[in-house]
Amino acid sequence: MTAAGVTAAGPGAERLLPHLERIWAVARELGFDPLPTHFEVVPAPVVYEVAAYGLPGRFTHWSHGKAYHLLKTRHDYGLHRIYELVIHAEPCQAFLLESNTFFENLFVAAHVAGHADFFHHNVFFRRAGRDMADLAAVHAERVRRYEYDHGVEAVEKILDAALALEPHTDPWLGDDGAVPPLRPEEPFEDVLFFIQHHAPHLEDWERDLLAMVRAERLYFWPQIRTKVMNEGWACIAHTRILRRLDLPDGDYTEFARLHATIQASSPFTFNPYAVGYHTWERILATRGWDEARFILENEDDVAFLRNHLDQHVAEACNLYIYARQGDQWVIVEDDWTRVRDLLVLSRVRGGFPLIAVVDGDYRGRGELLLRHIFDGRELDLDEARQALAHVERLWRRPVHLETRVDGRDVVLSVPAGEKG
Amino acid sequence: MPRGVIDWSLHRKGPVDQARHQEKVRAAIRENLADLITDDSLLTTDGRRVVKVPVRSLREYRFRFSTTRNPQVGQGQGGSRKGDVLARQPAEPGGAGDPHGAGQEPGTDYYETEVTLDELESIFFEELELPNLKPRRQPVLDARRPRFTEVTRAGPLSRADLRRALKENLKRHARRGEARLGPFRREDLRYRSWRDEPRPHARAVVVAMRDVSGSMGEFKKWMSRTFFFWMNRFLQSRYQDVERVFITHHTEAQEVDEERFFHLGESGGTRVSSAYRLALDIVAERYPPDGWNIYAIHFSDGDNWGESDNGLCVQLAQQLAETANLFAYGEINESGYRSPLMTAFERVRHPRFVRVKMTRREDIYTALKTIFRATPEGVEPAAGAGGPATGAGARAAVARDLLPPAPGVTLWARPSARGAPGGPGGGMPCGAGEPARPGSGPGGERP
Repeated sequence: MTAAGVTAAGPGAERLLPHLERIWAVARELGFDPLPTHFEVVPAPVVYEVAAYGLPGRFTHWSHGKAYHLLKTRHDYGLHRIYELVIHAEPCQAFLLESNTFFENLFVAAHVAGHADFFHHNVFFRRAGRDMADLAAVHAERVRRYEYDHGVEAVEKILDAALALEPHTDPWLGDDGAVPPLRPEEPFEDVLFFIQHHAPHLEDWERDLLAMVRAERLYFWPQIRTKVMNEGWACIAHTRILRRLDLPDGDYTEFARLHATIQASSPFTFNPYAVGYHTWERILATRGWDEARFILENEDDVAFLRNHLDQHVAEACNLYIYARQGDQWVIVEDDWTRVRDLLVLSRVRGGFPLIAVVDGDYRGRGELLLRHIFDGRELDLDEARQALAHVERLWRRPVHLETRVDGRDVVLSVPAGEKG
Repeated sequence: MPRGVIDWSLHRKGPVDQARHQEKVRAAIRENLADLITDDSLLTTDGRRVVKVPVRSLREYRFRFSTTRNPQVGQGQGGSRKGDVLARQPAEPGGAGDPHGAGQEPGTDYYETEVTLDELESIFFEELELPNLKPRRQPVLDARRPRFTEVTRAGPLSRADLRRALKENLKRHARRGEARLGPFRREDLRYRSWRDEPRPHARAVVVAMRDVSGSMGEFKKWMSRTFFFWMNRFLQSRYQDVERVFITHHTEAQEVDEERFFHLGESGGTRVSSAYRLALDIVAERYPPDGWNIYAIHFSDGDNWGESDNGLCVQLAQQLAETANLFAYGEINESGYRSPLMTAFERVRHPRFVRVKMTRREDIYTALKTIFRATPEGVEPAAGAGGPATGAGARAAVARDLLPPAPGVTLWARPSARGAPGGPGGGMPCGAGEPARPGSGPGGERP
């Protein structure tokens, strides 16, 4: 790592390196403080692979293959490109597409500087291991060994179920939380952890798989919970840095095009890049750089949107609430406070419902009782039944889920031994 | 972190897992074959057509919020207000894999795979086999095929036989008392070469018979057309030449063309024997069994006219089965009612005679699987093997009448529920909406 804090490898890296160093220098002048970063110029399939797996060298699973296929196909048909991809590690690893133009690479590098700054300073990344890229490779090797010992199908069955429960990991519990009793006094929010320790019939290697999936989820959690802030901040970084680079006019046109692509809106969802960017711009305009740094260091998306998304931002992004009415999808609300409240709610727990273990010895028969902690939003019942079947595949005794539909409490149950 | 130069082109993880995913898709298609092969859009196809198959088993299930029952946040391009309609939806979201409805559903990422007719065939036909192949006395020897059976010492490198060359190299060194591989010389190289071999040219004729009497309604017509479609495609995949003869009958039989065979209106009564007689005549005249593989199939609802004709049918069916490679009687009716003709056919004892009964669209699949499975020529199934063959799984659904069924044995059972767990009836599951991954990046929307 040079004093500039960047290295690069791959085709054309020598030519690129001085420019990357310049971008890092400009970033520092502007007050950004990115982690040292290694840039790797790679062919498209590698970028799509890393994007599909989340980390290079992560364990093998068909769902990764499915994601890879989708991304790759979109790329091959020219529908979608991933320009930038950065892994939170020490140093950060950023990937550049071989086919990027020179200007696109500058743009991406400036954007990456924002992420690397965010990784460096946001409090939630402090606890996250920066060695996960290595650990993931160790996990992958263990998965390979289990496949060899127990068969691909058996491993796949456990991974299918573990990945279904992955969102129901409690980030507050962390790596070394205490194991709760089989009948917890209060609903226990780390379903994966509970099953890993209390499932009556799992073998050691199966428990190990659950622990691996959980550890990787904990690594990803800071990125999930700061998605809006992090992407918004990276957009701030690329606009600020590129304005300082004294580029030819043609490049500025290209810059405007790329920025607009990233900020594009979609009627059925919100764009975290756009919402984050506009909120940060508002903070910088009204409260200044130092306060913005303080927010960057201490908040996550829930706090960020709650505290700083105001009417100005909601209107700039044209945010609204829509719902289904009969056979139509209709905008039902455009009052900015309500939009903000729903947006905040949708970022709680990374957008997944809160599911907790109520009882691991339900009815005294070793059955598992889960509860959906209801916050006004109903579950997709069809999905929930299938996900519950995954739980049964781990617990191997009947499992139950309490939830609420149409204002009534209901319990979904999956008996033991159901195939599927 | 120390870092060497990485050769990224060696990176194959993504493609490997993609292949695993594809394999699972194929397995899911196989599970749903009974529904897929009766998909209407397939049957009107020119063979290039692609069907979309919602593959439910490959969704990644999670506990998640309903996209249809909860309000969500969206983002306009400026100027969107309360009351604006974003999209309309004709029916339930993702209902039965309706490809037109899918695009309008918000936050959808439901997985559909595309299968061409050829792919579907290759999966389906793996499960079928030609029954009762008889050696023909006069094979037509008009086809010649190159077969790579020869080895030469000279030739183009593209045909080099590396394994042999390796062996020759070893041998050459061994002759000098050295147990090793050495540098290659021209004399080590061997090349594969071919010779033209005459191959018997297999021909087949399908004799399709159909009841067009007043009782054969739209559903029965559709069933026989679908069944015939697959039977014909399957035979075409196994023989170079497949000729087709179409016979319709009510009280009189006549030979017709394909178009009329499938679309002829219904009228009059039924005398099945007339069709069998005509079939036998045509075969005797134009398709001598010495040179032709003959597959005869008759579709009817079994509503035959009078007990005396049933007796005659039994006789003629026996003759047809003796002449043909296969004679199948397919009885179609919605009620599951068993006709006197079906009962009468119990008396036909011939390994090449098969009766199947179809009441629902899914039955076409089981019926085809029952008919097209290999039985060694001349080997009668062991007597007392439990009446009609009630093999494991789907085959149990259709009785193969090699032997008269034991009294009290259910000839027809509904196929066991296949497909997704928990879905009663095992019908084609619908592809319900799957919310987009939270926090997916921009530009990733459906075009």
